[in-house]
Amino acid sequence: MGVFVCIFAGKVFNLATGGYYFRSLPLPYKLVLFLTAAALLFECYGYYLGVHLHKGNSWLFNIYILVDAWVLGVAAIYLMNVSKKYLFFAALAAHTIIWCVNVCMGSIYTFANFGLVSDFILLTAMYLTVLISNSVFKKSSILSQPVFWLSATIIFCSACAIPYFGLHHYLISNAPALASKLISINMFLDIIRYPLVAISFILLGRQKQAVLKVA
Amino acid sequence: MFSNPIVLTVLTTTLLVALLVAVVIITMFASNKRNVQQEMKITQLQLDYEKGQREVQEQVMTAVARELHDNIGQRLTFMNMQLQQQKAVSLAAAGSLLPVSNMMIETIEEVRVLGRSLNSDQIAKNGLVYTIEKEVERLRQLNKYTVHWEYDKEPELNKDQKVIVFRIFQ
Repeated sequence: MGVFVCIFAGKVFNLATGGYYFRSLPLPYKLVLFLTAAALLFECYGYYLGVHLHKGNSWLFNIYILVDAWVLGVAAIYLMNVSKKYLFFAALAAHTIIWCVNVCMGSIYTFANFGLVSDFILLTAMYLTVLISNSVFKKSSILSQPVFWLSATIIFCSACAIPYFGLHHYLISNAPALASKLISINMFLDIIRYPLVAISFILLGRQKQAVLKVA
Repeated sequence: MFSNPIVLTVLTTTLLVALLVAVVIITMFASNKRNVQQEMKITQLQLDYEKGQREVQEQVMTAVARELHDNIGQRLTFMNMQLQQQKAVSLAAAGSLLPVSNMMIETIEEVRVLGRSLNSDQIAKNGLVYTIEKEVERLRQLNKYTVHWEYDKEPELNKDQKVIVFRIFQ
């Protein structure tokens, strides 16, 4: 329960900072903020379905996988400084096909873990491109760049969740006790993810305030 | 729990991925730091170059100002004295020499003012406001421009900053 409270608090903190600096946020960051709000809604409803109504909530998280990939993917495409952006749109479409195949092979009520793994691989690749094309060659320190905090967090949280979710079905069917213990990896990543993304909102807000002060 | 091969596989792979991501981020951090340092060095070099250029410019202007004052000014004064002498010797020529003499006095004054405006030591000696005021007077005397000049008090700037402001004004 304590872990869920931490994840919830992280998301609320992210929403609060994002809301406070909303006017200073460019479109990609607004999309990320929207995704946090969506994640909070999906998780609260999923929790309500699973814990209170004792019903399956995998279908809800299957839909969230698609929302997560498209929202973060479009935000990444906005942020990256590369010429062939259509390749990334093609990759997003390919991910959607993988998700559809995964759902069709099982059902919408079975967790589409390969769809989620392909989402994580795609987001890792996209935000690595964002990080390389934006942060490294800038004149300012990398730690003061909002795009660094956003990209590094998404890369770290997506890449580290791949091994667990790759074996998710195998673990659930063969060793459910281990699966429930190993899910703590994902929970830890969820706890750190949202406050770290909030740092990029704070940096953007402060940079805008500094520009306004100079003007 | 850790003796289970599946758990070990998942944990080891996760740790390896985390390590890989950390290495990538640290490499980018180091690369960015190097870029920032290089950029700072270039900016410093540019500033030094501009400072050197300004110093050379000031030296040339001071030399020209000294030359105007010591050489051309002296020659003009000498010529004026000769004219005054001629006027005293020949009263008939005095009338025709008067406009030349007046022109000579004006030229001497203008050369002196120009010399002062080129010499940055004058700014340190007399202050920025006074020097700009003199320059404004000189411009007004040319009858070519309408100059509107207002000032409050002597700004708190060092000598180099005052020279830069004055050169921008010029």
